[in-house]
Amino acid sequence: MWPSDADLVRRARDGDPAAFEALVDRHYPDCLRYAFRMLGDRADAEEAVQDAFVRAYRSLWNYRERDQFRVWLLRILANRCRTRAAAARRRLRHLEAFAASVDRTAVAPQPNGGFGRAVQRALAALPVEQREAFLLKHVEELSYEEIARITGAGLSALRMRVKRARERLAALLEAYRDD
Amino acid sequence: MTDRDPLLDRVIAELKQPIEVDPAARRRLLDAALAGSRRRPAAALLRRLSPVAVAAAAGIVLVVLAGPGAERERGERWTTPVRFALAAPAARGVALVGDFNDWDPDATPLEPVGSGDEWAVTVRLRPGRHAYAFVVDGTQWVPDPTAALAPDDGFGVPSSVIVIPERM
Amino acid sequence: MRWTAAALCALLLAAAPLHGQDRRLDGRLDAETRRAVLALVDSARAAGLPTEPLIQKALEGESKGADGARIVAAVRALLGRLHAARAALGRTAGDADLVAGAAALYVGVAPDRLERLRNASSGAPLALALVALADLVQRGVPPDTAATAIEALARARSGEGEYRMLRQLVEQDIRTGAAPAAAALERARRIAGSRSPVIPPDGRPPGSEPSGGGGVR
Repeated sequence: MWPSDADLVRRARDGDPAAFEALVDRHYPDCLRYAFRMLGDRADAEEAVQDAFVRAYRSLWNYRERDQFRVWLLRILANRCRTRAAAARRRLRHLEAFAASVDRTAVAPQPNGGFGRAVQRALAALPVEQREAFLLKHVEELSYEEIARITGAGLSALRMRVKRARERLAALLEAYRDD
Repeated sequence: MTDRDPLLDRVIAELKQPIEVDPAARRRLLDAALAGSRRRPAAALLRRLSPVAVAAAAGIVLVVLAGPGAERERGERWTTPVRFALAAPAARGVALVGDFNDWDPDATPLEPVGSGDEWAVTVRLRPGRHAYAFVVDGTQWVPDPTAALAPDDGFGVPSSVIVIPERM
Repeated sequence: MRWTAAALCALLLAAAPLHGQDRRLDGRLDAETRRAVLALVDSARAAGLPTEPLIQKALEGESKGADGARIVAAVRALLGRLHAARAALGRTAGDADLVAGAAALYVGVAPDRLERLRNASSGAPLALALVALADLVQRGVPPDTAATAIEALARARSGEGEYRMLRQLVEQDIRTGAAPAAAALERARRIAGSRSPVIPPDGRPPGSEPSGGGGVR
């Protein structure tokens, strides 16, 4: 029988390291994807995910079975990513002028179909809250209630963030339409 | 929900692509997480104690109102640091929940003091009446033995109350 | 068509005044419960009653695993008791006093005893006294007797220390087998000391007997 997340958490709490490994294997890929899309840098993403899993392990006792483990874990990870994104923003403040110019001009199409890179750059141009809401909604496919639980923001604010993110991304990547 | 935009659909499909996992990073993660787990097997043994024993053992609870230290936070009302403590030697974790942290069991974990028989945290509270409780191991609600009882309002789970006086 | 309507709704929602409490309920309560609770919050606001205690009551219920119906019932009942507490304690009563008064009403203290306590306190903040009152009742002291005991302390201008002492000593007495009512009256008499009128041994409030047993010791 395939153990549920709750089963694995219970066993991990009782000191079974294999159960925790199983939880990691189950959730690491999505977490890494989310962190990478949020932060744009692989090393940062791996550190954020590690940080989140370590915190999760330390507070496993606090996980309530009626919460979805994935949502609980993403809440921890989203906080880690937000903290790192804010720190990175401060470091790159001198590049703000450049970033602003990127905002105004659409991302130019790359030869050799660098669509993936263009998408990542467009994502990076979004404000952190919009990026976060967009990824949680459309990539992690969570409900607005779950996103509210993760971010602490209200439903109407979240809907607005996703809407604005969609508009911004579409505008920035317009050159790729009908490709 | 919203209009389907084929461009955004492609963007989303692109973003859904998995990122390749580096086995070394995974290994580092497990080492970091499980490093502190030497304590855990012992805690697992102690877990055989019944939850009632935990509650009964909660004899030393200190709610200390520190006189100096009351501060005005950015134009808001005065807050005073208050130390909450619970004796819970068999616990793996203790959280403070109350009307000052939206009853969120993730918001205010207590830290083990010394050998871990006592758990404590200090929070700043505004003047007024505050209802709260300790949550042990994520499931066991324990009221503060030295504080007044809060009526349970039909929830069937106990809480405590303290009153922080206004500071002049 | 639907998208346009939804977009308009989103814009209108964004333009509407955002109440801080909305956000906190969003991730914790289902839509139906949230709507019901917010309606009660609006009702409180319209009546000039504090709204934060209602929000916190809902969050408390969610945290304690109560279902939506029970949460709504608890919030609705609290709103009713806040009304009653304000009627008993007066319009100048602060939020803490109202919430503490509502708790005392919940455990069965009569509204007129709240009024008496207010008069006995001569304008001092009541929250401490009311919290101690509700606590005594929950430990087994009959509501009227508990109110008499607390009134004695209030008349004696008691502070946090005295109320705590009363609670802890009464709890201790009950644990060692004393009758709760007798314990409460006896401890209150001793703590309130000579500044307060004597409480008759049978526990009747001072002045309620034709041949007054009162008088300062």
